[in-house]
Amino acid sequence: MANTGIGQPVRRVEDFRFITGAGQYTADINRP
Amino acid sequence: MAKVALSVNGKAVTADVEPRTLLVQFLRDNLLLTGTHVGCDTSQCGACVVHVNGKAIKSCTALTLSCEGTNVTTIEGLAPDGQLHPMQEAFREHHALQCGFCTPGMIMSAIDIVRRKGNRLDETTIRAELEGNICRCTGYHNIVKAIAAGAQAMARQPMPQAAE
Repeated sequence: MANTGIGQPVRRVEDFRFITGAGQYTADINRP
Repeated sequence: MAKVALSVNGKAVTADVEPRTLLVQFLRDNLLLTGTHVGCDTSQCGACVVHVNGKAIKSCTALTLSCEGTNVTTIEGLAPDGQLHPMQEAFREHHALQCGFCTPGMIMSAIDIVRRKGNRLDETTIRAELEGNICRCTGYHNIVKAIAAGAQAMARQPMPQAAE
């Protein structure tokens, strides 16, 4: 069962934008 | 309206603002630097922490006009050429974030803790120094680990010059 990937930690894809300030939240929307 | 001139992430900025404009409003609404967050509006949560002349401040409690002539660094200015700051790298490595809302403030505060307290930080110090930053995902355990590791990484690596 080695190297199947099952149970392996996965690096979150969203973390890069969160740690660089590029996350998007509802407060960031410019309302008319 | 009043004129203000300051440097944000290495770029000179001049603007006409209402005198009551808070620094965080100026960064988010005028410059569209939305990485700096408003979590509470009452100076408790620390999501709005930025560096002014290298020191961490809560930008929801500073008037833009009071920052005349200063160098402001926001979370967007830490990795200007895509090369992550060691503290950003540590947060990613140690899974020190979930929703990411408090993260910019946490990272900016963490770098200031290193500036004031040095590169070897124990857990008690980090937890005490983080009093002004609130995480609602309750991720403090990993944040503390990340800051300790990031502080040591900052000592090892030649500091990527944060844009100021």
